[in-house]
Amino acid sequence: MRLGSFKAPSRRATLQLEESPAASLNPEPPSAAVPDGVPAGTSGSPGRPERRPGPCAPPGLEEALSALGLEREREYAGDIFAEVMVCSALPRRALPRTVTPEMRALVVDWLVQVHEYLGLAGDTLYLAVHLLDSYLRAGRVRLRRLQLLGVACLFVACKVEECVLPEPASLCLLGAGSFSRAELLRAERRILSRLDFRLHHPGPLLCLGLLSALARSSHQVTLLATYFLELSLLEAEAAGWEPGRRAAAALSLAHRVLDGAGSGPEPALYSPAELGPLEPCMARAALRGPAPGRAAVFLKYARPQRRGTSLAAARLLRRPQPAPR
Amino acid sequence: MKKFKRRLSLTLRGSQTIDESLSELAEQMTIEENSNKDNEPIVKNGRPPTSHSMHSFLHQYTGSFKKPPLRRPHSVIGGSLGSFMAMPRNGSRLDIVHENLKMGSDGESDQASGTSSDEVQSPTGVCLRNRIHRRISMEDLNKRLSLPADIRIPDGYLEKLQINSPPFDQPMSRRSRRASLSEIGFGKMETYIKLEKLGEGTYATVYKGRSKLTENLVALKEIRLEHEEGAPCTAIREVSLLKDLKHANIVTLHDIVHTDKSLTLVFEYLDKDLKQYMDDCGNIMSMHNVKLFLYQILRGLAYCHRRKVLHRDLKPQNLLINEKGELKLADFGLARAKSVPTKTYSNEVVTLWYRPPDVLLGSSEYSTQIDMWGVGCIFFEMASGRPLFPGSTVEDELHLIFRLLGTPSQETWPGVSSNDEFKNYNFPKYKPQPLVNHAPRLDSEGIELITKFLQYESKKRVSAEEAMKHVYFRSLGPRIHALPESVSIFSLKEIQLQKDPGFRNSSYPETGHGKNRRQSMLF
Repeated sequence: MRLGSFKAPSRRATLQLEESPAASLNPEPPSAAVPDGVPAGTSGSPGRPERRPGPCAPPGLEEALSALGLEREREYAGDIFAEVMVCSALPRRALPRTVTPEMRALVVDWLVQVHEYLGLAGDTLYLAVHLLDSYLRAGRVRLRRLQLLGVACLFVACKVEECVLPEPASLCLLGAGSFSRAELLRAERRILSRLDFRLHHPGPLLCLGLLSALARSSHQVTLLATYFLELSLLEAEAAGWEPGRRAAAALSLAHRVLDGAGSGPEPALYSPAELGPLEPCMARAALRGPAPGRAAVFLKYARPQRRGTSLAAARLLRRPQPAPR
Repeated sequence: MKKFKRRLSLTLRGSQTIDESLSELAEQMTIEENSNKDNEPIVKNGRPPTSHSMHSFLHQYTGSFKKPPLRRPHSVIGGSLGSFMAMPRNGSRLDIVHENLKMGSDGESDQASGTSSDEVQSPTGVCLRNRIHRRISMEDLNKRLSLPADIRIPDGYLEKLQINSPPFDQPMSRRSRRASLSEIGFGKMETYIKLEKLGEGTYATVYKGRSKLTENLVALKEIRLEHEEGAPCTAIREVSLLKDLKHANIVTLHDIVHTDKSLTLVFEYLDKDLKQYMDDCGNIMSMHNVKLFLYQILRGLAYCHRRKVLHRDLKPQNLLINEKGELKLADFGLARAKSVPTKTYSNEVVTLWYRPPDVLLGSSEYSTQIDMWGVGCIFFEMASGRPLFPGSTVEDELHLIFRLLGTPSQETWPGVSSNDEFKNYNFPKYKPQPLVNHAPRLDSEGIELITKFLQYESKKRVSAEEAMKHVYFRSLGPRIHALPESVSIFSLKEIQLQKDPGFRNSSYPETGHGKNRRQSMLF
């Protein structure tokens, strides 16, 4: 039930949806027959009839876009916001029987290491995990193919996102020879076929950038939120949350951890109740520390380049505080 | 089911477009479903269809039967995992040691479009209906629920489950739909007949073809697959973008045939590209048609830009036109979804003649405005019959631009005087010339609009969305602005193509254009 979990925002009047949430999330609105081209009134106001229904741009959106280097896109700010924030989640379907959430976490953890080792862009990792989850939802996979599937998803994600492609040979090397290049390319074909080439996914990282720019979050808060968001990659259930909601939960948790309860930004689009179930999941993961099989994100964010964020997060979360609801 | 297939093949024999056939197919499916519903004892409850997944049903049942937890405790799983997946923590050596852990009756989906595994896996598919009895056994249930093998399920539970199996009244899932489409012939090369080669590029060959299913003409873009790299990035981006872009002014991707050796994209067939169109009318187009074409370019582009997609390679060869005058953007091989703006793209993307000066001077910032300069150039070319800035090198291109529009200064283009490349070229100080001297057939409103496209500063360039509202298009009437996305502007009776004054009457010479026909869709 992904439609039902999205509610019209209640806190800010300006964020009211133009149409019902169900309509705004419907990917393919039925195109009504148009007799002699007379507009059937299927969409918005006259003059901008092709605009897809979605949330209005919140105040300060243009500034937020400028902060992300998208200042040229003012004309389309509202559309971009709608597209990015209202991207729907994957259906909450169980993993194939062969794959438990723990096994999935192992593979994602390994992908995080490969991704960091190759110095790839942040979006690439989120897209790779999204492709993995989409693939697992669409059918079964043999367990011993799971690692191959993971790395093939990363390979496809690179083709979409990256300017420079990693060599298939180097990916095979990182897999310690457990698959050949031919197998990697066959897996790629299987992914493209099973996903029907639907590879486009805005991803939660851009949402987080937009939300933190909107909330004028400090660099420290944003970094901590990025850490929480990346931790959520390891959770199988996280794929069932909308990217915008995941980003909002990570940001709200980061604000509360660093600045104390009630200091976070007013949630845009999502109410605290909607973020509620996500935050404990991220907090739990941060408290777990470098647990076997899911340590890569923790270690990555413990490095000085990331200011030991994961260590600080564990310390801050252990500090007595009003329990995260 | 057999009857159903026969009916399907009957409906597909006509000369409908694929889309029409598809919608009919969907209707047939619904009919079929409804009739099935009558014969089978399915308890339908009033919940919305999305909650009817097999899994949620099982959850509910286990809930009401007070079953033990569905998942084994984490520690147990962690332990068993450790035994077959060993992963070093230090990150320097990354590997997973596998053992073949094939579980139970699980098949595998190694075959790209194995329909059988599809059916089994997606409990929403229509075709699954009569298999459900075979599928649910005690053993299966235990596995599905991750229950220990010795758990006892109360008598009658299975029967109840089968009676209450989710009604399959949902729309076909994409998977099962694709599977059934494969059966009909989509996704197979045998379905398409190659008629003639339209052109050849570095990595793709384009053929004119015919679909055996619909008897419609198609354009087959055959991309050779490198054995080193798999499917090329450009193809992956183009296909995944086109999957998301459905618009009357964007070329329709009908089908994809993916084999070991090649990836073939099946597009709708359009007679010619804008370059050929202009050639065929001796480069003297009716000014009314120029307006219609420009409007359609902007309409398609505005749709892309709203969805954060830049085309990045606009040129007359990439604008396809059919005999009705419908113009569609094609070749999205260089387009990509903007995600994170910090990424730098290669400078070598837009064909030189249509490349904006900021990009020519080394700007790697890509925003929707990079497409708008090219629109201005194409607008001019349609109105005047010759390319605006046919430069042969970057310097030559900049020189041509500055000679017409004036060499930029800090006043006319803030920041340009600190651009190293600009300083190095040391262009003479040209004064801007009136554009109307070069495009005398363009009215003053057209001149005003073209000036808005040809702005040095990218942020000052008019957006596609705004340009559509320009007074230049007022003569097209108000209704054109209110059309739904998927509807052609020619569905309005006041919008009609005029005869181009320079058009040589002879019906399209088939051989005259030879190998050079249709450069588009190639790169």
